[in-house]
Amino acid sequence: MATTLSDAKLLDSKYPFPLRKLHSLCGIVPMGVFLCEHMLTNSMAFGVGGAEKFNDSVHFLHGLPYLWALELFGIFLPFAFHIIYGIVIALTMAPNVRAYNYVGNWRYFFQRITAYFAFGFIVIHLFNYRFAHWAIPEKEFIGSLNPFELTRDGLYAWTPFGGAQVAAWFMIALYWIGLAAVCFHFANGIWSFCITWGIAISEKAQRRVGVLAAAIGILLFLGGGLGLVGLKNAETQIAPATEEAPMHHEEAPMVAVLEG
Amino acid sequence: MEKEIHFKIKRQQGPDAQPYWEEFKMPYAPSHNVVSALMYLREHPTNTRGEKVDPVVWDCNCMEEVCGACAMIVNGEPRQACAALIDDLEQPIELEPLTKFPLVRDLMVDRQKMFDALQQVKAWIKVDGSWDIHRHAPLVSPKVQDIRYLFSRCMTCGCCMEACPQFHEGSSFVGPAPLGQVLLHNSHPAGEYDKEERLHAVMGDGGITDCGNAQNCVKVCPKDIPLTDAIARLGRQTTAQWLRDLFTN
Repeated sequence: MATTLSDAKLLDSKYPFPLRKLHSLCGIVPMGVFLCEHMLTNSMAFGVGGAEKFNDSVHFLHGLPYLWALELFGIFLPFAFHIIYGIVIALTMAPNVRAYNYVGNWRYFFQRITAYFAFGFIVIHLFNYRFAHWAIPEKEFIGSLNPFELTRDGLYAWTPFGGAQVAAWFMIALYWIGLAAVCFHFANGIWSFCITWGIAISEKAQRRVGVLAAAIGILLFLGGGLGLVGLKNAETQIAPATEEAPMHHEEAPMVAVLEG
Repeated sequence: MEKEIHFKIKRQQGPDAQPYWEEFKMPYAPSHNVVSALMYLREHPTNTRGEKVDPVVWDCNCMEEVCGACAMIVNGEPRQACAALIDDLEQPIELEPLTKFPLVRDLMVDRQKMFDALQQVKAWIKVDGSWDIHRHAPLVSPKVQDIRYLFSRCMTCGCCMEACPQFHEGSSFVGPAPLGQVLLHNSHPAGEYDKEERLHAVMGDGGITDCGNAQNCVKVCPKDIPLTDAIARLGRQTTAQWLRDLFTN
């Protein structure tokens, strides 16, 4: 990690411009686009029949062609680049929010704090779901019959690496704070993207873009929040469907996944 | 009780000495500013404990907020000491040197870093010769003049750099003011010839990409220079230059 960081620092002093441009673009496409899709899918878990809708959405995503390439080039590599290079950038901060108590200064400060928090949260999140099967093979998320139940299990009965269970209240708090951190970081990222790429110039234009970015951040937070609430109230959401035909809805998409 | 002016000054005998606070009191007189009060203290360098001490060292020049030399932190705010009127300040008045530049002594700092930054970004216009070129000076529209006037007021005082969380000893960032000067010189009819060189200079190490958009610079600038506007405009110019470099040149 230390060598990666110092290599990145050296690269940064040599090619700051293209690297920073790539870093900010990366945060919007593909990372931001992925976040929008993710929160949209999560919000499906809310309401009557939420479990089925959520499962259908997940099965659709897992049935996409070249899923491995989409994941590698659309998620893992951009995240790795954005995070490693982002740490190099964040380390150049000499915070002074107490001496200069301005909204903009706090926003700048939180952009970096939420980045560190989101990084830790996403790593836990990945081991919680995407790589849970490394410890417990039955917890394989991609291709699972009932991702809704698996997601609930990850939140309310997570046993990292097959060890002791993590308290549910801790996981819930972690997810709410993680969600807020990610949404803030993305919204503020849209705003600063528009400035560094020269889209919003004047103070007024920057404020307009800021309002739009904040609205996107709030919408995404609501989407993710609906998902968390939906998972919490799982009983009311599954009840009508499971009594009649528990496996019916889940079997069909699974076949599609296997065929795909 | 007789009215007084009460100072709390952060002093340091030299670059490697330990800093300490020293208090001074002097008789009140109307219309003092921090520099004129410091001049009085230079003549009467006796602290509140009655000890005769070395006079406080500081830098100043124009006394009308156009040279930038007397920038210091007055009651927590980076500003020009000559324009800080005693009648407007809460007492005791706390004076500290700027923290982002090498300290010389007391309130005096070495401002060379800023002039180096101006050189780095090529913030000048090449003369077109000392001979008669038989042409009128190029026309500049009043609208462009107005914008250029805002940026021409920069006095390289360092307040924007003092407030910038991206500008410090460990970073190579040139700071907000030189970026404003790039915009100023790029919008001059003769300066435009070297626009590409200036843009390439700010696209390098310590250039525009080191800005973190905290936007403290525009809040503390004593001359109300729209620095964040300049940085965003330069963002557009450098992005366009980058694309030209990639796909045209």
